[in-house]
Amino acid sequence: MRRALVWLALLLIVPPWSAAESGRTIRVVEQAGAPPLDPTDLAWTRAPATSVALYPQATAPGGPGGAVLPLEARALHGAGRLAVRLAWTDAHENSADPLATHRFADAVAVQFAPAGKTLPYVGMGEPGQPVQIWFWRAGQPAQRLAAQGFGSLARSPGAAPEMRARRTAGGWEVVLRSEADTRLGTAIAFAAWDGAEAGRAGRKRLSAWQALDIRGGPSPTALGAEAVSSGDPVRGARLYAEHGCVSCHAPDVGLGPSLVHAGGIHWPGYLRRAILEPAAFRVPGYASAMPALPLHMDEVEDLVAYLMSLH
Amino acid sequence: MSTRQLAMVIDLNKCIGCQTCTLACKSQWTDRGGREFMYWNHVETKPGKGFPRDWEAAGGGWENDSLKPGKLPRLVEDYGVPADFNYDAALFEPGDKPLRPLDAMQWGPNWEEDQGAGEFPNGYFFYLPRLCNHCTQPACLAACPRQAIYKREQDGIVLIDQERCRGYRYCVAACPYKKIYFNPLAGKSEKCIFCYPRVEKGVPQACAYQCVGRARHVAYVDDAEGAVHQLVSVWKVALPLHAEYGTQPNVYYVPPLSPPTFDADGKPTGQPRIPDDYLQQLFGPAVDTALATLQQEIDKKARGESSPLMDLLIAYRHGDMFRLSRPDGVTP
Repeated sequence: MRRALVWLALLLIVPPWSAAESGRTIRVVEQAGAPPLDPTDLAWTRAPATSVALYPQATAPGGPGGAVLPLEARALHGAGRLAVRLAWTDAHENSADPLATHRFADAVAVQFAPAGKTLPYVGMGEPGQPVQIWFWRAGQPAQRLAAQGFGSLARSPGAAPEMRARRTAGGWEVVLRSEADTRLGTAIAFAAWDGAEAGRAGRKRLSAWQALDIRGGPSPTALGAEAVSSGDPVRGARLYAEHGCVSCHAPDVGLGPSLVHAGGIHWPGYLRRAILEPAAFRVPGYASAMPALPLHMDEVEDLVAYLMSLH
Repeated sequence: MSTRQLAMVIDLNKCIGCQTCTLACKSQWTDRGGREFMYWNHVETKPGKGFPRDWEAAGGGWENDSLKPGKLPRLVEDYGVPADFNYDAALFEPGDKPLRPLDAMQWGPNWEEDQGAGEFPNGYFFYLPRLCNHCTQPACLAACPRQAIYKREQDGIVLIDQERCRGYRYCVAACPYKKIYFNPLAGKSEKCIFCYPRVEKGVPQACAYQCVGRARHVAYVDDAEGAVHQLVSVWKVALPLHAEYGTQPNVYYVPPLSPPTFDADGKPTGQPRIPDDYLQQLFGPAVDTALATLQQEIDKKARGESSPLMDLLIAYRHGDMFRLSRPDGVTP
């Protein structure tokens, strides 16, 4: 009852953070016929280019540090097929090499959330909330994969996505195309691996979930409660300090996942869940030491708002 | 830790470096499909950089309870790409062109064959056969973020699940013996499987069974009559290689004795040709006692006295070297 009142209050006031205003939406443009595989095809200019920030994954030991990598995403839908065109900067070409045992190839992945009102954990989904993945590694055919949490990635039945990749002067342009599957759901996320920094597994950069705006699909507003945070980030910062969150979550402590990019990678819904039920989903490699804090709902919202301000 | 552990003892005093084990393994498991460069079993000359080149300096293993960082060997420089040969020109065309490799190789298994160390007349070397140690605390298993590596309950054999492996190579870096190989064609990592399909039929590993020098014994460590228990725990003459890597390897070595050095006048000094401190680096401080025990038992045998240790190492009957709890009616 109390929780319902809080949600009601959330709906009545103008939220300071919302997915819609943050631009976390990929609009899929409809077209006659199948979308082109060629990344240079003029049809791609009809799809709006969304710049998606890829953040270094802080939870992987030895993962990349450094700056945010912008990835340009476009999506076209037609003749029962969905195609995604991704372009990003990568100074050095690293393709799979049959004469190398010590080098890693550049790669990119598109991840789809299952349909529903909540989003699974953005890093490989979670038990009971499987994510579908299209995976491309330079020099190899694309793969269709599925995962339900860390370490669970496996080949998924069905045809592998079609792909075409183009090496540009300073990066990659990759188109991945497959049947527009009803399982693709409400949101899409991206990840890129840089072979030059031995990128593989968790050594990657990843985006937050982006709402998928596709004709006939669920409305992006279906993610309403996931997408808004009505708290006060200043009060949240004070609570963060008072409850000593930093003693585990500071980047160099390693007791809990670093939260330096929390607002860039997560949605308010996940952060709210992580605070209220810390044991519900644990990032592997970290002790399940996080206590359920004695917070009022408005304090939780303040903390969420503060974490959403961290990029 | 598994319920039982199959283990191997290799007697370095009997290894003649003939590479029969290497070829028995290669022709059985690694002669195709991107495995051509791999040697799940090989014999390297010590002292030397070994295979892959400088593996002892490539890191990996354990430091207390933490994995130590390790390097990934390079195919061309550290393993060596097997060269093709001019078979057509040398064998089927007129003329007397010799058989030669078409490409210049940079490295290979036993690249430094018989080089060793030391100056004439005191040069020395010995052969060190190497394979996966099927460790009791495998660093490879701990390093895999996908739990693709497992240790079998029934015999402790360490295997990579080829369905789960995605070629991340954390295992390759973590193995201090560098006995996991990345197959760049398959995009997955592969390793010695301790011939488990043979073992399950009661047949010894190809490397052990084909050894012409009768240098390899195979038994479960809990088999009190087996050579492993006898040589490791009773006689204490078989030692693990680089125990300080912390993985608790299950391949043991009987260390090599060597003839004495000569002094400036050409007189034997009584000091062994292979320096004690070098053997200590490989096999730890217990190597001194092991060598003394071996010498003592050799002397006994030379005097015509009985030595159960020498009888075990001599291996009068080939079949006695392998105790695999064979199913009834199956003989190797």
